[in-house]
Amino acid sequence: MHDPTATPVTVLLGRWRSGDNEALQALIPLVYDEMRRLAHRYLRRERPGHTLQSTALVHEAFVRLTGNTPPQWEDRAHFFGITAHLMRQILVEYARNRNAGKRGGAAVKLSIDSVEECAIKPDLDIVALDDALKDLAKIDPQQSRVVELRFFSGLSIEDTAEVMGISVSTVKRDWNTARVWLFRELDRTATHEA
Amino acid sequence: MKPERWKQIRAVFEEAELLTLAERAQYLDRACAGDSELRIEVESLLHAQSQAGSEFMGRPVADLVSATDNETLISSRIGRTLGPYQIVAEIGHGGMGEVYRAVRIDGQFEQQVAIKLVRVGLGSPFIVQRFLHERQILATLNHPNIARLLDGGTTEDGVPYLVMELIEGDRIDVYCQTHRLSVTERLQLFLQVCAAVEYAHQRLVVHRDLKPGNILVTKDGTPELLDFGIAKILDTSGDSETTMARPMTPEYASPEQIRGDPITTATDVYSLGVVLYHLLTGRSPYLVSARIPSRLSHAIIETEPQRPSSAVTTSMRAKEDEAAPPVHTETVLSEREPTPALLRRRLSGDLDSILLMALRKEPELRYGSVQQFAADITRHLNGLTVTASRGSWSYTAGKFVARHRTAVFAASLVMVALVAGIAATEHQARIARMERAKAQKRFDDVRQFSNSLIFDIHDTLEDIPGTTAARNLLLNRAVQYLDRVAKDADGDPDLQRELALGYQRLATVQGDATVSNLGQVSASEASSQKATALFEAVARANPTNTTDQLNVAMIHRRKAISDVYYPDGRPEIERALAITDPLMKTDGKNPKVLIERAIELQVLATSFDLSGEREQSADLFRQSLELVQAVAQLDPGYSNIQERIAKTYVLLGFQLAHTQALDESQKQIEAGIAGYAALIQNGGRPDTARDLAQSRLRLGFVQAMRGDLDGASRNYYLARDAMVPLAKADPHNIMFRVDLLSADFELARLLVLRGRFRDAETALSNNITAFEDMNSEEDVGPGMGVLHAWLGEAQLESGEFDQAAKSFKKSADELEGDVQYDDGRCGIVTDYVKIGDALFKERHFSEAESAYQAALSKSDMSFAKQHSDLPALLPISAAHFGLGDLHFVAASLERNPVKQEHLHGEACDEYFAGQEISNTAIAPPLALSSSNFPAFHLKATATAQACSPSSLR
Repeated sequence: MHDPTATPVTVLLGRWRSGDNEALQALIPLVYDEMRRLAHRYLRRERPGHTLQSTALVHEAFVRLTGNTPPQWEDRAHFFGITAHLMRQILVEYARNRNAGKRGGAAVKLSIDSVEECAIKPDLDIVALDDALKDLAKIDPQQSRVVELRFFSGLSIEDTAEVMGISVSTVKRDWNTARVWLFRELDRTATHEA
Repeated sequence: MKPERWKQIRAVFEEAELLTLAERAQYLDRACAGDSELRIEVESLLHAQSQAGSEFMGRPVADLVSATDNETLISSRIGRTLGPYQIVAEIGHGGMGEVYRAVRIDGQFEQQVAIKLVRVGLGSPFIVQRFLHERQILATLNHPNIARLLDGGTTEDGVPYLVMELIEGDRIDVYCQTHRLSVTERLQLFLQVCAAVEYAHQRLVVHRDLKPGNILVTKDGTPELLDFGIAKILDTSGDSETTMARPMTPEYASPEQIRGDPITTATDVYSLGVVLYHLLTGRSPYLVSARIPSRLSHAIIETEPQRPSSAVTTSMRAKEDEAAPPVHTETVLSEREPTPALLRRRLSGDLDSILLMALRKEPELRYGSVQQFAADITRHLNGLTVTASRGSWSYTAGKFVARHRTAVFAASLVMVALVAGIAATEHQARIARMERAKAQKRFDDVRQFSNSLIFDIHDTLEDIPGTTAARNLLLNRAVQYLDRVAKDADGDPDLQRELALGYQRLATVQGDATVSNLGQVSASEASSQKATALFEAVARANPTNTTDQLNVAMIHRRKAISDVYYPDGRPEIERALAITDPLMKTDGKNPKVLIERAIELQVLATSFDLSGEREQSADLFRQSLELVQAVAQLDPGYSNIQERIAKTYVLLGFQLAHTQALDESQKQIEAGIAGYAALIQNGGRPDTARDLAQSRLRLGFVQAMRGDLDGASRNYYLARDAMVPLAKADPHNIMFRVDLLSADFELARLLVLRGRFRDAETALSNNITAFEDMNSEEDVGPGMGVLHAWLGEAQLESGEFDQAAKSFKKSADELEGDVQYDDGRCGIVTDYVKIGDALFKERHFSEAESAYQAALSKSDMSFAKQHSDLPALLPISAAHFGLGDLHFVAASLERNPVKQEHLHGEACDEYFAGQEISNTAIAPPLALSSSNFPAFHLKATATAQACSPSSLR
């Protein structure tokens, strides 16, 4: 490591990059810990206009853990590789908690339309998506991973390709097909809960 | 599905999606030859793709779970005044609210205070309740070591707030460290904390969230307890705290809090134990990181805390574990205990026993009170033997875990929610603002608007009383937001869709008087028009997208529903039907299409009913029933489909009653009732009980028409029994009160049909008074016209002809407003006939004649005949009978035989006219006599028969 102030995380990242899988095992709890803390802080604060940016969050976690600033980092891709799955877990947990808090309170009204369905909501049921993604992983792990990186970690097509070590066109194709597949799976669930 | 199969499917799909529509079919023929399943799979994917558009998963998920927006409200609070206080700065965010520094500005005296506000948007109703609760509790606590409540209230926009003594001080752990307090000094300070907690316990207030952050020490060394916010008076609710988001801090939470078991004073004993453990060892009792909730909760429930004395010297080992909590033995060292070894000696023995006693997993095995805990510490300081027995700490947690194994899993889930409560600092807020600025402004604005502002915040606020002003503000902001973004939205269908949904929701929120009563009718209209324009543009651009088409159909259909009583209703619903008509052909197995079509047919049916085309209306309800049943076949899990079917049965059945098909009518309504009953058996929606009760009223109505008065009575009482608890549970809901009064009306009407006219008169008079008392501006219940008509009926039969005539006149006047609808017109005609009958009985023959003539002139005979409109035909025939009676009487009074014969002839003509009309209606007069059109027909028909040409001679 050229960084004289190397932290355990940078050391572990270095070891992992050079093929040491045990380093990854040691790395995950550290990153997980930090990520979860940051994510919950962002999400829970529910600050105005605050759209949680996955990439920003990962950047911050990275900076906090390694002391590196984003533009120079070499371990960026690898770091994202770890964080995608963690982001997914965190966000799904968040969505689950959130859904649990949203019950009850229906206006009573008897008209022809009282069991009216609303126009199709743009919201996405993240918990259901997570479930569907688990199914996708069983038949196509690579597509599932692409979705994790793109959708849960907020990586661009190019970054995803870099992290996974596959071509940009493959990522594009996987992403598109996986998206369609997931839409189909969710459509039914959504229909039931509309 | 096997991975290999999926690989094959996706290969064909990825090839096909690149082709034009025309090429696709050919390609699929080839690629899927002999494998129709493969083709189905690929086609369903292609279909999904056209539906998904770029919107689906178009942004990373984090954006979707993005926070609610309340900065606008909060930032604007700085500088604002609350009562005599002016907000100066934000101090921080707590678990449940924002805290501000404020000053008193009414010139009375200079005073700085802390003001705590419920976080709007996050504030689900129970948080607000808890907040208000806190206010009450704090007011009862008056202790030098507890931060005082000074004031409280609600902001202009309905946010509750507390004004508290502003405590300037350090966290107790920081204070101990910076002042390098010895163990003895720490214990003495801690005893003051215990005294304050004990004071609160004596007032049955449990803190529940004791931690160093809530215990500040002022410059002069006085500890002050903050935030009794989650405390709860023990004996008022009695039941355990089971809400899912229990406010607590994971690191200091007790096993019973993690498990969700009842909270008692022993909970505070435990948390105080953890605080003291920290103060004496510089670390947590458990060797896990507080940041990994599942591990921490596991440890709190399962793991025996380490003895404090050994904790201060195992720090080296702990440091090897990266996930372990920070160990800062140095924070505990002092002049008196300068090294870990000396500290260890100081802690071992009494203090080990005391702390482990306070930290027992089972509440009942801890100190019985904070006072006992403190007493043991005092004993230790005085060199006396402590009560915490030395050996008992060795009881194992294993037994405990064995007994609570299921709770352990649930507890780790709870922990996830807890970590989320960590408060943030100003520094983080700055980062957040920077990130926001970087965001793609346009899309974020819109999504934020539609997803957070309108859906989340507004929904949350809606349940909180007194938030109308805040909602108004939010919505106005939202409109400005949308208007700005809409300018750039040309040609981007996804953005237009979102915008349209946003506007639509806004229109609903603004315009729905029953829900929000914001009374922004014209604003709602404007929003609705914008939504419509956007939906229409998207639909035009995407003619094959079913969802886009349906959205437009829904707009027309909704408009038709609100306009169904006006001439505009019919063309609107026809527009909607014109959209779903082709969809039924192209996408006729799509449940969404079928449901939309079914609803549209019901609206059209209602429109037909209003215009008197009763048979056609029933036919449409029947078609609608077939559609909803088809949806249940296609997709039994479709949202609320069983409710819809039950409701359609009832609507159809009730309509059939107007066409005199009483057997079928009863059968259909009973089918609906059976459906509702099954749903309630399986849980049911909150509305289902009400729907069921109302259906029973309708069934009773039909039974009464059939003469089954006992059956009707049974159903009316069943309905009423179901309505009483609903009305009790929600006494302010006017609809529930209307339901009850409507049931009362039906029962009163039964008294008329049973011939108990005096009782009926009393009951109906009371019912009318009750309805008048509600003072509702809208038409509710059966309506005054109907109520007075039935009162008149009872009076007529009791022989109070004058009163009866007045009641019927009142009824006719009330109904005048509904004259354009068939039901209203029929009611008026009937009323005039009845007036004629009453006057006839009083022997006011010429007035009676004018009344009968008035009845005929109010009717629309040719329409009624053409449509066999039964409810219209019957009073018309009755009017003719009445005129016949009059002429008959006149003939018998006339001494001139020629004139007498002439009058007889006229009487007979009238009777025959009446009878002919009755025949057109093919109505069994008996059945009718027991319903809308009571007994007079019998007599009239009999007289008509007597007046045959032969009997005249």
